[in-house]
Amino acid sequence: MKNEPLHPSSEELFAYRDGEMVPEKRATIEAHVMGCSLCRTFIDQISSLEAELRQSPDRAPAGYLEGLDDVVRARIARAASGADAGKAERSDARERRSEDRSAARERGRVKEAPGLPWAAVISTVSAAAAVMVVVVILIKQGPYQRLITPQPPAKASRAPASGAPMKPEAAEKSEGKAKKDREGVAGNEKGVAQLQKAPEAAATDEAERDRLQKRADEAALKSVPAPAPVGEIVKEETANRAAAPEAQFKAMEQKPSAAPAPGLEDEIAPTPRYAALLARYGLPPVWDGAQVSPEALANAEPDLRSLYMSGIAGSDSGRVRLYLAEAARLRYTAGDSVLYEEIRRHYHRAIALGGPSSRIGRVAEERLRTLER
Amino acid sequence: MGEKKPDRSAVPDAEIVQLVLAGEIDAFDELVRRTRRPAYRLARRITRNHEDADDVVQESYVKAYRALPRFDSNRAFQPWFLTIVARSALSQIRSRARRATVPLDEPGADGTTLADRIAEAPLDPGTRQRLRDVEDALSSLPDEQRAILALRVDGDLPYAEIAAALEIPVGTVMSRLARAREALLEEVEKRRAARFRRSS
Repeated sequence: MKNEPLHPSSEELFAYRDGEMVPEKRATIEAHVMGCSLCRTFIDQISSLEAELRQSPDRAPAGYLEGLDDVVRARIARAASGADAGKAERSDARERRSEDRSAARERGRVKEAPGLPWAAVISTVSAAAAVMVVVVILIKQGPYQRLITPQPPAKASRAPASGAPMKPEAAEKSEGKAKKDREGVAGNEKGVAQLQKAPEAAATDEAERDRLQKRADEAALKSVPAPAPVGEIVKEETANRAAAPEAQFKAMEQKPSAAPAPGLEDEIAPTPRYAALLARYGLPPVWDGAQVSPEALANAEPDLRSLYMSGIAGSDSGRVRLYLAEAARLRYTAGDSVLYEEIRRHYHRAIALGGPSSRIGRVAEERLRTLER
Repeated sequence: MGEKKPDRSAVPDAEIVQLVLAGEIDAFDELVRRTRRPAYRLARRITRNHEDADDVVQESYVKAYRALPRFDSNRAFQPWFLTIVARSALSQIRSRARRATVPLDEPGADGTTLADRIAEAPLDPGTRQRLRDVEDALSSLPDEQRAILALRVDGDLPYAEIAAALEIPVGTVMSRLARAREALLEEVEKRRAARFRRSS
């Protein structure tokens, strides 16, 4: 493929397969994919891998998912009842972290309890020794020295307390050491001050983290891109319904009304490929319970799946997804969680692709409501 | 305790959200039931271990609950919620010093392995082997690639939602997803080729 500069890039092929290709390029890519077995194979390989991943069994421990609603309810209740207005804004994870820390401290205390007196003695003695050293240094080097030591002759004023003569270099060294010690003390004080400030800093960090998390959540809420004007949506969707997520979201934002406007995909005629496939099995353009025989649908399913998997369903994607949901439903029995998710996913995509006010969207939504878990 | 809870399985997401906002906190259970499976799958794929995935899922529900007043009821709940899950999961793996993973053949929290589950699944042997290959290959990918694939495959999220979840432009989603898919394919092919060599 690398030797063939005319092949679209992987990004383009995948965007096309995912229904995310920009309208201007979509027709070009589609034409290429239709005529290029290499690109089709590449798309098929990826589609198969992803289908396999979706088929993979859940890894949740037995009973975990079933009990999750109780756990979540308890956490929400705990967060709501135990927190004041300020705390309510905090992430529950932080509460848990804090709980974990307390628990860890608690555990640590229990574990360390037998050694605690020794630790206390050692730390007290160390602290006392440090204080003594500092005091001695201050006394020796500070103004107190003059008060407590006998005043020697002027010449001997720089002699050490021991009375032994000291060379100027040694005296300088001693002063230097004292300075160093003083700096050390100051440094220690600074360290202590910093340590005392640490909880404050941590609180600031947590507040900052909360603020960021809050902003992230708000951004998630606003993550839907600004919608394009409706006229433009219809125009774009006519060219490529699946290519403009903005348009899809705009469509999703329109609440279904009693007399819904025609949906986006409803206005686009099925492609000849899709129409021919349906005609082969005697199926209507959009799934309709009254008109679709289960046998015909079961027979059509492999072809519908191939159409979807090959990534060339294009503007028929919503219709295809609705059919695939219904086909999967023929095999479904309540309790089959894997198939349940697959069917739900098909319906959700049908709603998203067709738009909730479209016929496809409305049918998919109604059918989804009746899907028994 | 003995009070029977109303069956809300057929009530649309938007109505459930309104019920919760009106004070029927129990209605939130229904949203949890509807989304717990994809949420856990997504969190598990990104974090690669049950403990972190559990943390992420619970934390995400609490966040979603708190953010519910700002939720646009005209939207579907699941994609919105999965965006929160993805963010929490990514934040979790970034903040974790350890990178605890549970490989395919290592028991999870309940003592079973994914390999066991695949073996128990009602699938033909060929499909089982393919599943093992692809799960193993996915697990070997870097966090960034695994996360974007999980968002696409398990979350079924469109590019715009993935971009919002990862806080990157849509163009970057396209290129990152393409690299991740290529890497996945390469890893799967490596495993299949190795097996083929061993068997022949």
